[in-house]
Amino acid sequence: MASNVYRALVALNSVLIRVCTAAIASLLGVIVVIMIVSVLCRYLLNNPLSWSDDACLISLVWMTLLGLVVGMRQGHIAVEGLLSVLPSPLAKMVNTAVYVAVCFIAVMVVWVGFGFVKQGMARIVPSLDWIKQGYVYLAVPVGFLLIVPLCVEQALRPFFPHLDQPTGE
Amino acid sequence: MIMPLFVSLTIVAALLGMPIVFALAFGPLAGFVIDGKQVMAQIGLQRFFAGINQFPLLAIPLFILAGEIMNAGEITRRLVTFSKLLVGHLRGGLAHVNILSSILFAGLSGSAVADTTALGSMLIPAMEKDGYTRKFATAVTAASSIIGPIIPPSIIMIVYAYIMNVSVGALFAAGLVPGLLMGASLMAMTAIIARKRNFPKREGLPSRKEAVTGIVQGFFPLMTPVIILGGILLGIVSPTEAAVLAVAYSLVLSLVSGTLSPGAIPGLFVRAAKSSSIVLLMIGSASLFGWALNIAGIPQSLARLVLDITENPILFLLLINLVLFVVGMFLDAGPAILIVGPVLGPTMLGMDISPIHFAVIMCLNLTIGLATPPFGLVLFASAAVSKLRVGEIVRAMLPFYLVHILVILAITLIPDISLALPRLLGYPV
Repeated sequence: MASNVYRALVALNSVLIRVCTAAIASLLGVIVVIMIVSVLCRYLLNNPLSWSDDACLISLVWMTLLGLVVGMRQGHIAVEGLLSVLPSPLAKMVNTAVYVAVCFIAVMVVWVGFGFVKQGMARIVPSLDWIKQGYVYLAVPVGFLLIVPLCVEQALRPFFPHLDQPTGE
Repeated sequence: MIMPLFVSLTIVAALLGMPIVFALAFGPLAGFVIDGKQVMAQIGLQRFFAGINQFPLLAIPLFILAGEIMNAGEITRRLVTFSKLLVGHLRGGLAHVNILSSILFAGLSGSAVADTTALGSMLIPAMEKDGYTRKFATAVTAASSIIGPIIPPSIIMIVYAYIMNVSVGALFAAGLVPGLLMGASLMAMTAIIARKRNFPKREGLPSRKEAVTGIVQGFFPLMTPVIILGGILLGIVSPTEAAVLAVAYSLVLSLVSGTLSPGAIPGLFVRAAKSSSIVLLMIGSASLFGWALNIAGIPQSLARLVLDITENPILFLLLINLVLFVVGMFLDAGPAILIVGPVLGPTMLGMDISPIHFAVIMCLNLTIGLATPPFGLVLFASAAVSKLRVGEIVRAMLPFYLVHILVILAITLIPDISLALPRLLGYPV
């Protein structure tokens, strides 16, 4: 029973990661295209685009925060030395505690972050007046909200050693 | 000096295996909650966002992408062919080729790990076939790959420039000579070892036909560093623009020469987006952490403490090298710069040390840390490529570690090695 629930969670998370991966690769594509167009306009046409810097930054922020989700399976850099020398039952508990703490950060960032988004809705991005600043801030709570199910997966992971474990890819 | 609660929380969390990006945020956020200062958490989050939302940082994903494209498009093989033409006929030829390829590769990519995997997977088998031991072949690969982040373009230098508020162009200029010095010193050590162990020496020079193809094939890839560096150092383009030019150039080059199939491109974007968001998130968390350190006054009190002990900049730099070496053993170079840089900043300014000189010392030292045990990404990568155990590689690397240490000392004691070129180009140093 428990392992079925866990398996479903892993499957859900895999879909989540796949979607976010496609999104961050596309956002990087957007950055490259805008930058190339902007360089051409500045140096060849001598007519710099006013909106290209802001558009690239918005893409960069969203790419980075959705990348938070993609990195959750062995992507983010961690010091692994201590866990490997601890006896296995203790290491499992420490791992769970660590991901409960990450979950605490995520919930807190989401909580505080939505306040920012609300404030940001009163402002616009200077060179792109149809985009509210709040939609840029939104990347922060969204990114941290999406890692919550992945934190649960990482916290439970050592307790289901017999299941096929998803890797970083 | 009392260590505030939040610093201890961060350190404990990181040691227990919490990913650094979270550990850096965890300490301050949990600290604020414990102190009942939730308002501070809001400002902290603003710092996190502002740390990422910076135009100069766009250069990071672009340089990483350019590196991915060039790796996929057989550029590495062409660099090796080109290096063989130049140094292949020396005693211990392939070992020299390995180092020279690392130097050339460094001008294309800013990552030591990419260098190890790309060059190692090609040169370690080739060196074994030529009669070198696999241990030695792997050691040369790992020892020379640390040139990657010193010779521009360099991701960690962009990170340093941003967090310490200095010019990327000046840093790039400052890294060039130390990187070449490191390469030359490693080649000198290789020459000594080659003579002692009587390494193979290829008879006869390459034929004219081989030479011409090698030069023609190597020419266009080797123009990349010329475009990047020339453009930035001469002030024609910004580092971000240079990075996008590198992406466009390498993409066109690989597609036109038929070494990269269009179907492989999405995969390159995925990998570049992934690794750059990991770096950028760390920059965001480090901005939050650095701000928390600052309001606790830690860098300032550390500066006072250090200035009480010694006011001699040379002694200070030697001590710092020791600290950095230890930090680099445990932490990746990027996160280490983000954490240690802002802490040491005030001390360095109090001693009148040029931030550019300090940057080169820091980047070089922490990159060497990538190749030292117990935690070194370059070591792990080279163990994976060669199927050897880390311990065996480390033993074979001992003579090269000696070179690393001597070069670090030279760069520490003689600031002009780093500062002459940026000064010549008119950067304030």
